Amino acid sequence: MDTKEINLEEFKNTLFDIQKLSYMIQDNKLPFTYNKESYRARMPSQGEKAEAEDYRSEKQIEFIQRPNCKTKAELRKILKENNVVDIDKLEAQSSHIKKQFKNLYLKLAPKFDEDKEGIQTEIDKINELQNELQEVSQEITKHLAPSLEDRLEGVYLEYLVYSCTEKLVEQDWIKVWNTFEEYKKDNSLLATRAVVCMTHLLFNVRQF
Amino acid sequence: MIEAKLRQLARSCYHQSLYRASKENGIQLFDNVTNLSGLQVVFLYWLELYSFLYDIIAKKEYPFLTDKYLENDIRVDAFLYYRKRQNELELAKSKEEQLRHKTKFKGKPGNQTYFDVEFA
Repeated sequence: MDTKEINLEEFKNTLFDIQKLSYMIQDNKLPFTYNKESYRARMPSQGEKAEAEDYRSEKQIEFIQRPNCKTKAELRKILKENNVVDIDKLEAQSSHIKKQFKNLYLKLAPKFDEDKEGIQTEIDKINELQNELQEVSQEITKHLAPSLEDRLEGVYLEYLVYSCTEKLVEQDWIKVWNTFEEYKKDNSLLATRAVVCMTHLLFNVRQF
Repeated sequence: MIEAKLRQLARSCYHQSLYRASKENGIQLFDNVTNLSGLQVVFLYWLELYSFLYDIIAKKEYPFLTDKYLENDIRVDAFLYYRKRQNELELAKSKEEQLRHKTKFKGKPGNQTYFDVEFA
C-alpha cells in the first residue's frame, strides 16, 4: 500500500466517524477538508443528473466506435477463451458461498444470547465466508472493469464529481473546477477525495 | 464499514424515537425533504427495519430475539433470513393445503376450480 492509499484509507475512516456520520446524514451534502480548507460534495440536482447522463451518452457513442471497446458479455467471452479467468465459474462459486451463508444463518438465528460459544462459532464461519465472497467479488469486478458498462459508470460519476464539488470561500460555496477539462487535469488528492465523497453520498442510490 | 455505522445509528434509542415522532407527528427527519442522498435512503431503510424488529421484540414473537440480539449485525441478518424462510415455508404449506381442498367438476376431467372449496 503506498502513501496515497494509506492517506485515502485514513480519510475514509475519519470521514465516517460515527459522530460525524450522525451529522452528515442530516442533509444531502458531505463536507470534508483538504489542505485545511473546507469542501463539500452535494447531491446533484435533476438538471445536473441529466447533464451527466448526456455526457455519458456522448462517451458511449465515442467508446463504441473504438476497436477495443468491449461490453461485459464480450469481455467475459474473451477472458474465458484466452484462459485468463472464467467469470461464470467465479459467479457459480459466489452462489455456492451464498448458499452456505444461508445454511449458517438458519443455524445462528434461533440461538439465545446465553449460548455465547455457539453464536461465536457460527459468526466466525460466516466471517470466513464473507471474506471468501469479497475476494471472489473483487476478482469479478477487477476483470470486468475495462468493460463499456463499467467505464460509462465511471464517466457518469466523474461528471457528477466535477459538477457537485464545492469549496467554501468566505461565506459562499463555489465550484472547485470551472470546467470538466480542468477537473480531468487535476491529479491532486483533492479530486480523489471528492470521488470518495460522491461515491458514498450516492451510495448506490441509482439502484433504489 | 459505513453501512455498519449507519445501522448502529439507526438502531439507537435517539434515532428510533425521532423516527417514531416523524411517523406519528410529522417531525422532519432531515434538513432536506427531497433529493435524498444514498446515505439518507439507506439510513431510512435501516430505521424502518430496526423499528419493525423492536416491535417484534415487544410482541415477544420470537423468544430468542432481544435488544442485545440487535446489537450484532450478523445475528440480525441471520434473523431476517430465518424469518423470510419461515414465511416462505408457511406460504408453501398453505398453498399445499389449498390444493388439497380444491374441488373438481364432475364430468369435466381436468377442469378445476378454486372457488367451490369443500373443507374436510
